[in-house]
Amino acid sequence: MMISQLIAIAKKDIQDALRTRTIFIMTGFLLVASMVSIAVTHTAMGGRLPSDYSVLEAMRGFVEHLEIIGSALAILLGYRSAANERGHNTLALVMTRPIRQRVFLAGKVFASVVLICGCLTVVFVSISVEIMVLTGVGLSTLEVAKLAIGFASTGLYMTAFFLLGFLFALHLKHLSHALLTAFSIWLVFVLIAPQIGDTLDPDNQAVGGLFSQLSVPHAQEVEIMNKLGTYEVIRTGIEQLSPSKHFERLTFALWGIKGSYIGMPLSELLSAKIIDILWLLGYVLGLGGVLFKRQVNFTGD
Amino acid sequence: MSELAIQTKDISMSYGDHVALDQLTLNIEYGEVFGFLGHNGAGKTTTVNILTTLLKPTHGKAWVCGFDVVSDSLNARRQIGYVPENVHLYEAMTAQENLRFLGQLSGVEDLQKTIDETLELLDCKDLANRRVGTFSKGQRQRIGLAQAILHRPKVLFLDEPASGLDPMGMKMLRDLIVKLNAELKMTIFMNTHLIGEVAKTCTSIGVLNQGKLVHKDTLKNVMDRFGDDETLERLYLSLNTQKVA
Repeated sequence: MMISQLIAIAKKDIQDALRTRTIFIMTGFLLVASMVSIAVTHTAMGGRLPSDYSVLEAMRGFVEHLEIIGSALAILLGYRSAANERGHNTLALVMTRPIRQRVFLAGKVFASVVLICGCLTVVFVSISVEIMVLTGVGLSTLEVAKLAIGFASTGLYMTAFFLLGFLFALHLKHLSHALLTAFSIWLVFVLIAPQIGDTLDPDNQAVGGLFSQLSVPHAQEVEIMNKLGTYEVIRTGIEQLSPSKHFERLTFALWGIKGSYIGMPLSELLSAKIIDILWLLGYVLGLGGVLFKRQVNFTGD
Repeated sequence: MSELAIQTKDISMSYGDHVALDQLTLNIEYGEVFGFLGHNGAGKTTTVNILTTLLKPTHGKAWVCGFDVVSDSLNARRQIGYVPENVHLYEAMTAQENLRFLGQLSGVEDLQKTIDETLELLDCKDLANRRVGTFSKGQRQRIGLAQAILHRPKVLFLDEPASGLDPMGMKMLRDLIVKLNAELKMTIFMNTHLIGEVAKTCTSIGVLNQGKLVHKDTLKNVMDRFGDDETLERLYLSLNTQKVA
């Protein structure tokens, strides 16, 4: 009974997203932005994509689009999923049926994960084809595997933001406050925190690296940085709070955008990035935990 | 099976300092059509929200068909159908799609047959494949009733069902209530302001004032005592203007 209820709710939500074309608009937007970014990278490099190591290097702009546009679209998807029920007062209609709150919520989350995966499948397949067409180089098995892991990471990253939008739209008294609050958090964690992390890095204060520009020997650099221990803890702490930074670190490593990971065996690369994977998982599990733990007000009183 | 369709014992509901419902004790037997009268804000909708498991009372206990609405809410929900004051359905879906979805959540067996029978019973088969967003108030009310009785509940809760209906719509609704009570043996709990409707459809009434039950009796006793529905209106008005201690 619980499984059939979960499927009924998920099916209804997916049909609704298809009927209102929400998912098509979301996919189209992300697809156009991603394809343009790949084409621009290819043109900027004088048609010399890929580098010697990986065709996936062309995906730097794509990662940034996923980070910013992908997370914003996921918030909208989450907001819409809850706001539709609250706005039309259909929560009470559903919750006078013999259904548990957690089954109802699981059905809605499941539907949105399916929609996010559908959207990402179209985007990832399209940009893979675009890269192959532009470069004239096919993707190796390893590159396909790296793309698949990147796909899963993107799904996880977007699910975290979906849960954020969904949670606020489900629990805040006023729906307009829900969207505003979710986007304020998005602004802090997607745009501000990663920038603070970067701009406050002492070595980033001069082009090419401050210590290198000042010809500071490495031992002295370490000594200076040790004196800035507390400062560095705060700076990296701010950076660590951002799911976008973890997503970026993981995908930059996976797709060879960060040079030091090029040529590294996949298992070794994943071990090196396990902290970022755990952070992304932690966001989803944490927000999911709050979602399933909190009692929903079904009457709107 | 419990002898009472609905039972509440000292249920109260407070929102901060505001007491919406004050120690309500109510017993309603199977087969009754109970009219719950009271002015706006008297606590009628809060009572229905508690009995339909949507709200947890801040004090007291309530049972539907013997099932505690808080600790055994899933079983309580299996016994009830609910039509809110403004019928809320999925606007983009057709009537049939709405009924199919809600029927699946209720675990209705042989769903298509049950949907057809229900639409037939409510005389609205012609609405099946139309989008709910295009319906008039009366048509929405019918589909609202259809979704509420799809799983053949023992108790049907109607919150101000005649609100906003034209005279034809009100007559149709009255006939349906009588039909559901007579043919499907449903106990009906109806919140309303409309004395005339109560006099024509209910078997017992309760009057709520400032969250307190100030009168409860069978309609027959009230009519024997007061004569006609005009006098019933005077009784209602006098009970509602009294200050509750």
